Amino acid sequence: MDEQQWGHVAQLARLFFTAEEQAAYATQVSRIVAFVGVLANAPCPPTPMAHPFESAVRLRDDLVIEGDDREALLANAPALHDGLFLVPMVLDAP
Amino acid sequence: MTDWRSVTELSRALASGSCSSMELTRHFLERSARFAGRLNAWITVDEAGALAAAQAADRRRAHGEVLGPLDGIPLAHKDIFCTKGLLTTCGSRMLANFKAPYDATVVARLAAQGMVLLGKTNMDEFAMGSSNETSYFGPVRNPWDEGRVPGGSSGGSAAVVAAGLAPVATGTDTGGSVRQPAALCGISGLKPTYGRVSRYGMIAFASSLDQAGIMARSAADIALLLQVIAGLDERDATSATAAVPDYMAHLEHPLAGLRVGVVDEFFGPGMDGRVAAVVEQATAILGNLGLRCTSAHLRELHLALPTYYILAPAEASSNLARYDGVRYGYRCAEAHSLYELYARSRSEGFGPEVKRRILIGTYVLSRGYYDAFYLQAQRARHLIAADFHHAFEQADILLGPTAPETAFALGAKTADPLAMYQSDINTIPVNLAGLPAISIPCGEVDGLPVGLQLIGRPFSEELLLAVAHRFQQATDYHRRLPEAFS
Repeated sequence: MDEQQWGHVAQLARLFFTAEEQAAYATQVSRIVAFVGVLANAPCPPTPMAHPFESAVRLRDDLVIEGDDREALLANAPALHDGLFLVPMVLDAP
Repeated sequence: MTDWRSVTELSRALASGSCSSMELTRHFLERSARFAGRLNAWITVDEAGALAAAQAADRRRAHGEVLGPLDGIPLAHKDIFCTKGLLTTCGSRMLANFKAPYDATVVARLAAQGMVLLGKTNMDEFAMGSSNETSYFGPVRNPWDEGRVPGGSSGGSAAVVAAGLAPVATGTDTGGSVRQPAALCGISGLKPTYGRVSRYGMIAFASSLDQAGIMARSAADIALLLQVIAGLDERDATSATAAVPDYMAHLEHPLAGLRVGVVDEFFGPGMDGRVAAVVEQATAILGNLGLRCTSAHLRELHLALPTYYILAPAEASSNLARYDGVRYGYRCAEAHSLYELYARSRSEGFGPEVKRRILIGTYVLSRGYYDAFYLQAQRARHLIAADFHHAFEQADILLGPTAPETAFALGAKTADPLAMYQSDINTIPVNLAGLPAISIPCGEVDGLPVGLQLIGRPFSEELLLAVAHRFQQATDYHRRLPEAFS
């Protein structure tokens, strides 16, 4: 991965890296990507396998089975305001 | 006195009245406290909850209301299973203070049988690791040699069972995380067929590979617990509808003439010759028990590691996108924008191995690389599954060493992720094909345990358990305890 690719992927992954971290990771990640790259030449069948058993997805009735436990769900929130999750401004300041 | 006893034996002791659940629970809690600093195998010990559950079990027994053979038996859960009101950290700073609002199905089903939860065990962060050194809570040490790793990611579960701090524990297996630590710690560990056990409330790593398992002293103990946790769960859409057999009844089924395929490729480059020799001796024991052992092949085995290290990180990068510092989990201080909140919370909350895998997963899923990496890996997965299918035309079960070597020294592979990934070379293919497999102790090299892996067709757990049980009736490897903890 070059510098530009690294920045793009880190941004997609929502991760920050210091220059030192990036240097440490870059070599390892490049080695791993090269390692898995051997698959490119493998004579594979055309159909991808997304799941161990390709059976139809089992559906259930669209019914509410869990109670509304607002208090329990909010108990783990790192920041709350008036019983709502608190986040910074969604739109960056102009 | 009770450290080495199996669940089956403890259950008999409870039934005969020779001990109470309270005595058992106190015994394991005391041992856990005594050895806490040496192994670092627990993240949470719930002494008050365990004693209350034990008291309730004893009360039921006194009133003739026993729930079953597991009522009053202590156990440990890997800290990846959600436990209502108790910390569920997944070995990560990200969830260091997380208390789940519900129980995982595995947790709920075992609790409904009266099992006593001692606590939650240490693990590689988000189950990503083969040595239990990526945990935010520090590495776990191997009870057989405290300078060595217990394997991973269910290293804490393996260590507590091996050291006699709990008679049985749950684990999870995405690429070998039940079987490899079971092998390195000298215990038995089953990874059931994909879909056999509900994953509801089991924190996700790679959803097409993850499966819950049991780590115990014997195959018979695994059968007892699997009976409870196996089966359809409407809360998990990937949970299988296949009927659940009577695993205990199948333990004694005749096995004469059963075809065992010894997979040549499992003894490939990187395999310690001494480990291979121990496994060959174990194969001879199976032969003496009347099983027909012949050579088998998995010719695409060399594709398994590259395939896994594309698919698992890709699925992980998607599953772990939910950790954003908003609704639960770690949140960075003083973020000025939403993007900064997400990125700093994730960067500070995840450890190096998790970040490395998220990066790789994001890369292989990104525009321009998806077809070459992710799609191609999904195609290669077909080859690997077909390979097993062909092998099972000639054999009823497949066999090989669980891991290429015995427990390695702490820190020996932390700087070289690719060397670490090789630890799971014989276990990963099984997850890619969704098959059941068990690791059982089959000997030692320089005083360190060696694991024998048995692999079966989908939903053939009863056969694997029967073969493992028969092997354990003929040997005593599963009864050996590390000297420092006996």
